[in-house]
Amino acid sequence: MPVIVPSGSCATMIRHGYPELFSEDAAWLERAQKLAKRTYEFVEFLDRRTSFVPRVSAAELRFAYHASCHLARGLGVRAQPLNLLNQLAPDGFVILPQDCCGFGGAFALEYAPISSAILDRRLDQIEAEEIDFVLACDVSCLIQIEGGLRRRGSHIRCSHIALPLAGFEPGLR
Amino acid sequence: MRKAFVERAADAIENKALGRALDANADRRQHGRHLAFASLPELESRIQKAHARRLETIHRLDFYLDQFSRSLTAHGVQVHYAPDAAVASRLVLQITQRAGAKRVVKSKSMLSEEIQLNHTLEEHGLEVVETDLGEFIVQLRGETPGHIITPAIHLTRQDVARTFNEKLAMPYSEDVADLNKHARKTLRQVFLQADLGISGVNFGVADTGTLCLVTNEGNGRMVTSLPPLHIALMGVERIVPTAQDLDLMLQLLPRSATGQKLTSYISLLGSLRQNLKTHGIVERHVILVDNGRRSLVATPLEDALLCIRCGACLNACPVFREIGGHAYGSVYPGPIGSLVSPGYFGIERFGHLAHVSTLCGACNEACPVGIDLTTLLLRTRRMYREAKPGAPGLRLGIKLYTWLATNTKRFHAAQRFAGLLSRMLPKRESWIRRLPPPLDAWTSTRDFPPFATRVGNAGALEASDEMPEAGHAQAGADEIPDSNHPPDANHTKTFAQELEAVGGEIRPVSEGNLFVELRALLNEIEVDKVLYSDPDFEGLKPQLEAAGVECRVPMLDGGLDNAARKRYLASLDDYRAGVTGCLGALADTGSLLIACDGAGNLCSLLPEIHVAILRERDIHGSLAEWLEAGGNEYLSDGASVTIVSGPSRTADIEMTLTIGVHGPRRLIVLCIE
Repeated sequence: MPVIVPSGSCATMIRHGYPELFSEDAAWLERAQKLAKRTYEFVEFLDRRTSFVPRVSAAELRFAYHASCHLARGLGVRAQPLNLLNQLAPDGFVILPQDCCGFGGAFALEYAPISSAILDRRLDQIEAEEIDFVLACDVSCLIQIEGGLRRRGSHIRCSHIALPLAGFEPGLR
Repeated sequence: MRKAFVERAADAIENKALGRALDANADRRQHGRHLAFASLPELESRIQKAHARRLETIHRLDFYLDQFSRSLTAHGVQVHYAPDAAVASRLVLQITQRAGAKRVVKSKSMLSEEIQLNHTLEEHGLEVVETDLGEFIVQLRGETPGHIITPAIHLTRQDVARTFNEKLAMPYSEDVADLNKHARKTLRQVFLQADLGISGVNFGVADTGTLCLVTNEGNGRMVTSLPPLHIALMGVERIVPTAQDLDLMLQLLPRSATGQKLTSYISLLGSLRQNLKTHGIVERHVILVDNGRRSLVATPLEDALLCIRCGACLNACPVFREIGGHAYGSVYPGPIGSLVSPGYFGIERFGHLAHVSTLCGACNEACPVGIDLTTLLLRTRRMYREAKPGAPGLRLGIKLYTWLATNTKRFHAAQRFAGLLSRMLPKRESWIRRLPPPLDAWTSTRDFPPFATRVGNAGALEASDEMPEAGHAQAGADEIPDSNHPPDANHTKTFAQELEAVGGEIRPVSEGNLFVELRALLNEIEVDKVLYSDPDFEGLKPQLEAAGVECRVPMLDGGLDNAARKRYLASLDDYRAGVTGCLGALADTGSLLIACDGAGNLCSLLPEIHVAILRERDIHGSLAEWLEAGGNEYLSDGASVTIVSGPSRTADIEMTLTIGVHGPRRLIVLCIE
């Protein structure tokens, strides 16, 4: 049975991190490899294993797409989200440059000033666009970005890509 | 160590000028790198091949080091081995003192920074001058390099102007060209008076015994050829088995480091047994330094040894971009530094650096030799925790989390509990404004979403099957064409285009009117005396002399005593132009191959203008083609060759490209059709 996770970073950890982590324990390594093989990031799953096409249109939605580092670089999932979003918003949307949001797990707490400095750069890029939403395939990036946007008093909000694709209101909650 | 790091990082983030400089570095270097790699087909397979060759070399390090040492010895070069920094510094000091050297000139060597060589030498009363422009500035200010490729990255032109004004009594000027000119003048005198040159080594070629230095300014060439004594410091991992491997590395290193196809000068230093009377260098020592490198062989961090120090991972790293090099507290900053610093110098001292990363993978993407830096960072984190367990509170927290997260019921209960607790926290529009310690670091700059109070377990879906295997296979790693370009009948055209792209000039001439054209050129540049290295064109020199042009063939005799030698060198300094022949040229990079065993080196290095006479038939497609066509034997025999690509250049002040910092400002090629 496939395991589908809503974040590129989680999928990268399970697929690449777990086998590395258990590399010295044959029994656990085997389990990790089995799990790695059946774990998919959400969009990756849609692309590889289904014939999903968005049945809704969100032409009125002004949004930017943030390609999370682990999705793009860790899993190599670059074109698939864009293909889906092109169908969802045929009139176009903003593709943010391939840059990190500064989250990095415990790094965001342990080295909060550095994490925040990286985030600030990202927020400047986002706020320069005429958009209402940032969409991504990674919940951790989205929490980091929306946390920063809210602190700045920005009107822009974040949403996982799945909500608008399924015809739901975008948003984190 | 971690605490000091946190403080330095915070200062760096506050420093607005540093922020602008780091932005400029990241933008320009990344852009340059992308442009430069566009000219290299099949990049992925080249990276895989480079990775494989580097790894194979590291696995047979003893064999190649032995072969390299024997090749060097045969070339009359003395080889030393230093297991650690202290021995390396002591060896340099001993050689220096034995030779009675007082004045030391250095070209950029991160290894010398690593072993804190300047400190040792200065402590023993030696005068040490860094001659790379960036290093020179940094040394004048009593600082350390902020980047392994761009040492003065952290300084503005105003900083440099003030430093030159204070330390060199130069009238205050913020003009980068002026600053460069002043440095050239100051350092030229230092070069002419130096007793000893110390350089690093980018690559050592095991089978030919060639030392390869990759530079832009020309100071590296001077350091390795003007003083009678040269000491080269080389990390043991910087060895490549053959000249073909060197060719592959040279396709990758300059493109990654500075966005150049080749740097202005690639010095290939060979034997001291050739042209003794004109060579100048009397003694050369190579010190092979381990200092923790070999301790990484056959460990999980082994791949860090594959690094060729291009600095691309620094330029790509979002953390480096915010905090710069100094914050890391190690000579090697950035992603690769966060591996080699703990790897070479101790996991307890530097292991925390592995945590200073979002693991975004920009470094992996930038690495020209395919190092998986993020995986190595994770391994380093693990080793760090094994060597130095975290604070008791953290350990307890992780134990608690493990207990909660390994049981669904407990985990859901904990989530509900957190959700309830979070109701009590201050919020705005439902997001939390302030979290309690230790989570308050988050809310210092960011809001946090409320914890869910409803949690649940979705029902199982019917599906099966596994993903197809990801396509990681190393297909075709051995099938790369060895040359950069398919055979090009019209090498001359490519050569001319590439030469002009790197700032060189080319004028076609016929054999019959070479003299007339050269005479006209010298008139045009208002020169009536030149340093002349017999370009092997019969009768040219007498014709020039008959026309009133003084042609001086510089012969730096190794037998001269120190004072006479310095007088001789000083007497060469007022020639504005040098005329040389060429061993050949490389079309794909617009480069000239200049024989540098004798007069050719001085003629193509000291004057402001270098006029090179090239026969069209000597233009090869690429470095690989030249190696194939006899270059390899040539190097094996111990010849010294400099691959010259355009005039001397630097971008050490605010990334502003300036021409002619140490070597020639102009390069004019007369190409005989």
